[in-house]
Amino acid sequence: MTDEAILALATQPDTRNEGFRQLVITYQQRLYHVIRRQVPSHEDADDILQNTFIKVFRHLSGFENRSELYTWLYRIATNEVINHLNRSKRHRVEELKVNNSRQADAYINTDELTETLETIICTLPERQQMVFRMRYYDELSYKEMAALLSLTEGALKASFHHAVKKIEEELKAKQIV
Amino acid sequence: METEEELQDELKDSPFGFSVKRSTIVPEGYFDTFPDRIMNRWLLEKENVNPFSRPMMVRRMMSAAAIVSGVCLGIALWTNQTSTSSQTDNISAGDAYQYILENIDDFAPLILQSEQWSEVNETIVPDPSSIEQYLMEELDGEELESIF
Repeated sequence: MTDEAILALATQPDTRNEGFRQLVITYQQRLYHVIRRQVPSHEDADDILQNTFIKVFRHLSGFENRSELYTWLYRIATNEVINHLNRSKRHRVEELKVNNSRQADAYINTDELTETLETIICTLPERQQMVFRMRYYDELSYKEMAALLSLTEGALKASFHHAVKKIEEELKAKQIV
Repeated sequence: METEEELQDELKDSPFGFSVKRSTIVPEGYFDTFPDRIMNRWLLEKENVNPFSRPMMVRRMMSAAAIVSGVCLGIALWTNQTSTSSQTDNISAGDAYQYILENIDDFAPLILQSEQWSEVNETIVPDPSSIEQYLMEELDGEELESIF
């Protein structure tokens, strides 16, 4: 179903619920993968995906067609991810402090590495976090990111490289790289 | 979106040198049931909002009605009290006494008919034995016929 058809259904009181359902069916998989790449568990991704769609339902009447529907959905999903991660940020920072005092193991498995990376990402400034996630996990081009975040490609490249540098320093400090 | 090759070039200088991207294996049937789950949650949230707002509105209306009724009752009582007291306040006790004396003929039947007056009558009319006792004491032993 096209975006126009979905919006036509979702904006009419009689067909609103059917429009919402079609919206979910159309975009659930794409949004799920965007979210899932950034959170540690399926349960977290499920919660965030539900919250994203509920927020979309509440505010769909305010969608002004200035951007593509997916761009708008992506932005809401990303904000939900950031909110979720910020809520657990304190916990992760505490983890990082504990891990800093520990010698790196001779062998570190992927799950631990992923967790460590996530902990480091959470210490970055918000914009660097977002840019790094969009670039590294979602594999978006700078052009797509610029359209989503209303920033220049140059600013995005700078943010990404700053983020990478800081992550590298942290990984070296942990003797992982 | 960039090609995988371009992306790898971009990330060539990254510090990782390994992939730490999460696998996104989805539990079986997740996307089949998700639309129903999210629609149920949405409908539940809507239902929870509506019944909550209705009693709130009714409660507010009832509160407003109670306040208005209370104020009206208060005003009515205050007005009534004011009018009664203003009628009696204008007549002094002396004026009332003077008025009754001047119109005693009008008030006499009312006084005689009143329960209080009949009680007074009953107490001042002595029985015959009391009269005889009284006279005996007054005569101090003299014959009753001597008086007449």
